[in-house]
Amino acid sequence: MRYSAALTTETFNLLAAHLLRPDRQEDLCFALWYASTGARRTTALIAEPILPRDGERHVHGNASFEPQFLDRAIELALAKGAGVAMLHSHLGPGWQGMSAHDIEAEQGNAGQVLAATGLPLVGLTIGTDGALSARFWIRAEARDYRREWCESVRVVGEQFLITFHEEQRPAPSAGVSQRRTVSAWGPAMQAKLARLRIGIVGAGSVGSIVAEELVRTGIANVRLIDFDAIEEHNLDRLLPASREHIGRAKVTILADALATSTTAAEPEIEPLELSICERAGFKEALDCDILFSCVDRPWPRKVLNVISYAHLIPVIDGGIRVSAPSGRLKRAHWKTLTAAPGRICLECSGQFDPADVVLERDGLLDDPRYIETLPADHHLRARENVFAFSTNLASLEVLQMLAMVVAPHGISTAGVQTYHFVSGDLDRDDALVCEPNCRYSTVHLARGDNVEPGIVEVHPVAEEARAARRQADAHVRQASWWRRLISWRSR
Amino acid sequence: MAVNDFVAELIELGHEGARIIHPGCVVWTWPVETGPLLGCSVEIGVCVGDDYPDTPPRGPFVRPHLLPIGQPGEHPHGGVHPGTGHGWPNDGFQYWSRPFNGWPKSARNARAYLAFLRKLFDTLPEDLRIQEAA
Repeated sequence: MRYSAALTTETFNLLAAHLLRPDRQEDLCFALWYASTGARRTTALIAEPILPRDGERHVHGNASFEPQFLDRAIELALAKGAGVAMLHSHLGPGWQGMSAHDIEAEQGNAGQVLAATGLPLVGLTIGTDGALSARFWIRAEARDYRREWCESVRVVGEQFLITFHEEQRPAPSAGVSQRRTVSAWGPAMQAKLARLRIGIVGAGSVGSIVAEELVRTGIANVRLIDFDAIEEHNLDRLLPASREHIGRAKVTILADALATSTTAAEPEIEPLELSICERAGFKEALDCDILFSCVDRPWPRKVLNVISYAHLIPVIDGGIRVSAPSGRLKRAHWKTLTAAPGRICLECSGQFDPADVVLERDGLLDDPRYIETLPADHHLRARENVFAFSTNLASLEVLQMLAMVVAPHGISTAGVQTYHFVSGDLDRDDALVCEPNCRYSTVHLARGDNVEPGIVEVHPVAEEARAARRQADAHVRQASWWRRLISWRSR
Repeated sequence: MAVNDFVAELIELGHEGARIIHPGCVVWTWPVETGPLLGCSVEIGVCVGDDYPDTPPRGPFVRPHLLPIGQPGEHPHGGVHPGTGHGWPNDGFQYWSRPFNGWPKSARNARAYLAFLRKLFDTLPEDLRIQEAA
């Protein structure tokens, strides 16, 4: 299991304002944390700072605390079903190691915290540049707590800040093939981008181009999530697909293509024949630092909205709408935005309607008889798309991600962008915020596993698609065996 | 459990008979307050997802059958299905697959769902009568 920590920019600002003292002394405080459990990574979502009251801690160059301060933190954690995080500051920049005193303070309290809350103590250190480092204190045996370093700490909001543990996620070397890219933003930013673990949900016309752009930019670790197979009607828009690939899984063909176009020295491209709406796919997504939503259905978008706010993993979403009554193009526009704390969510921006989520779960969106009953211009009937529309949207989505991470001149958001094909206008809206009763940006924020994501153990449509491929593969193997047999006998 | 929350809300609104008959499935008797069936009582069944109130309950399951099944178009004529086959455990109901499109701007609770039901019943065909339909 790998470990990580994440917090919103708002929480980070509260903590930094307390811990980074103008008098250059170290300080400490506690916070509540909630678990986000992925397939191979557990993240501590640092949610609510607990700042000291008078007499609860002492600052003397270093900092120390009275037992009642920890008791208060544990009491709050118990009331909210949360864990306890212990934070302190150091007087140097970057990822921080631990002194003997630091270890003693955290290791010595790990047992009490685990016994009371059922969750391990999480320790964090902030450097003078705001860089955070973190570790979990895991019970190895009775009264013995082992430190497990986090591979990264992520601060998520308008900007995406990340600090890596240099041994667990070492900076890859950028070769000649990335020279032009590195010259745009420098080796330090390239080292940050290249180490991100990025998930692409949906390996269709937009997802395949997003993936191509990412691996050429040098992103080494890309996870592709899609259960669907390539069909003939995909060939006008699917970047790596040709006729010979019909019937094969989209993610497999895409992963093969990416393996040849990547510029990363040690690429890790994982094709996952899963739906984000089934538990296995959901868990794989929780291991990622950033996700691209390249889906056209409401249910996966709803699940991704949960991930972006409850699990603090930014989701870059895009969608294309074409209106062509009677086969004549009337309108076409595509919209992209980044869902993350402090930004408008996918539900409030109209990217999905929860009522349609219910219809999809009920199987009605996969029932042609139901779809036929909808009006001709109903958004759930719209299937029109053009490769050039998809390539433009994919590019806008990747630019959203680059703006959020690179933040040139401190500008980290491109807003909600809508491109209108007929007029050639690109609208940008920065003023959009969530509705007052939005649950994602309020009650679900940073609550991780405590939020019911509305997923299923096995997605019936995904299971059917996988079963059909298994059957087709078996036929191909059998035909191949017969051909070999006939060839041998004819000799 | 989300379904328990929904039932508790219904009971608080005066529908004391609301009960869970299957995981995620709730039934109660609904005195129709508007439209051509004003004054009649029907049984309403609702499937509530684990992520309620993020998502609304599905369209209602209704007993007795009130509308012809399998017609094209939107409410009130289209989107009427046999009750079985949509995760509903009880025959005798028919399923009205009407999406609650205003859910995000509503209060996201049973009161909002009942308002949605009232609107559905208010827009039934004027000549609809229960004795003719079953």
